[in-house]
Amino acid sequence: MIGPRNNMSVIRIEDLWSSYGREPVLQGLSIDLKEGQSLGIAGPNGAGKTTLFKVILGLVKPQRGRVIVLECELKNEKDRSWVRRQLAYVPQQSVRGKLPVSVWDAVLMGRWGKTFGFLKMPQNSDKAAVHQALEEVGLLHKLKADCRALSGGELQKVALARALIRGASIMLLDEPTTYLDHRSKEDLVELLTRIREERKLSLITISHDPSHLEQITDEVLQMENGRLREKI
Amino acid sequence: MSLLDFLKVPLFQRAFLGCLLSGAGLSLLGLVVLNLNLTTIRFALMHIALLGAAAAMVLGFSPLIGAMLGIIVASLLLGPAGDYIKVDTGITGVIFMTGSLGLAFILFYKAGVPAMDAFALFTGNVLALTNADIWTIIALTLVIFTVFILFYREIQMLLYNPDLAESLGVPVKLLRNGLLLLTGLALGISIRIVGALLVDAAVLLPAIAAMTTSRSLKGTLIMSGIFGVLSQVGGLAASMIFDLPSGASITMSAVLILCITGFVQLITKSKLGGVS
Repeated sequence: MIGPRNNMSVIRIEDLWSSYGREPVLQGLSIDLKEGQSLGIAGPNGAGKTTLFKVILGLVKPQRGRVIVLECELKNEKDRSWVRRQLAYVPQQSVRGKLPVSVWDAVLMGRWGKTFGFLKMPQNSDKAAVHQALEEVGLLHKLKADCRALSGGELQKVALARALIRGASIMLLDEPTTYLDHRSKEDLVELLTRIREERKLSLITISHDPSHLEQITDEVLQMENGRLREKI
Repeated sequence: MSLLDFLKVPLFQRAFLGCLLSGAGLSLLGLVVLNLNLTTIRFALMHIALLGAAAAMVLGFSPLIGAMLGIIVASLLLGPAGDYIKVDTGITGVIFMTGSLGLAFILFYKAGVPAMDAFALFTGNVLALTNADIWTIIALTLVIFTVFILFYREIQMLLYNPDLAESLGVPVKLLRNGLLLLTGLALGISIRIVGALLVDAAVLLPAIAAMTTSRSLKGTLIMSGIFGVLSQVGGLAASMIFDLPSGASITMSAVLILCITGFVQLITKSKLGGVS
């Protein structure tokens, strides 16, 4: 049985308010993600789901409220930078990039800011981690392939491998199955369930369609106009 | 005169060196324009470069220096200031584009700049490069190479997915604005070489050809440099051998390279399709 392993909060958000200009986006939102829990947030486009992720990642400063990740409250740039290294983010893949990037390079990006970065080359341990992550998602045979030639499902697996090599215990997934066909969606759900169990991950997944969330989450919350309204 | 005879003349030596360096370095920034959707901003920067060059001609100093100064100011206005005042870059781009061209024509008219001198800004003239121009091109090419080598991974992440890069902690805005400035400066130099009307040939066409033939960013950067050198040096050589205008000859070389790479891709894909 997968579910919260204990009562320890890994992400705690209290009375969060945020806006773009005069337009309120998040209005008094509170969330408590327990260790090992998988939480789904459903809501229409523009409900504030992606903004919520940006606040957790420290990319958008909230107007009011507290965000605490692994006991660290996001107060200044140093906190935000530390928290970013503890999280793995899988962004939305609605648009395929034009730039030729090999699968190897796309996965290696996940280590940036952890083991390599500005004027610091990737290490042998990074290369080993890329191999291991690609093996885990079943894409080792596509190591040298151009990401532009991959299917939507394969591209999502590359994004997952990139998130895995960050070695984070918390993963944020933005519409992971939305643009996939039925078979790729089933594949990804199976993979996510296995990885979550093996790596003992805590997850927050956002999607505009609640049916996409049921299979990979323990609990689904509905978001509308920046508020969490009800439990589905 | 044969090509070797041409190369003994300092004027042609400078032209070849200018083409070699700009071909190798400036086309790398075409990748930035294509992948960060800077097409409107690129138009604005080109026109502001033109205004800067026009002002320089009126005031009696190097048009290239004028173009560079214009671009530095415009890059700051469209980059960091744009982030701060949160104005849509598409709208500001159009205002800059039309306003600077209108102002350039007023300057030409009021200062009595001869029509052919003004026209040279639109068609470019690689044979008119001075020693100061060459030193400017050398310095900019070195800066471009250094930036792409030192920040290769960060540039790759920015061009691949800016949201992802930002979430991993890459200073996306700083990097984007720095690349915007370099792109503007590259456009300024390209205007001097191929002219404002054909500047895309020098900056964008080699990058497009490289993106169709490569499977990784490293390969794309190398191929972009190679295609840039082939189109610029090849175009210049063809212009001397067949007595053609240099800017148009460079442009047609770049178009030819793009057609060949596109054709090769088409053949390769259809062959692969046949196998599967």
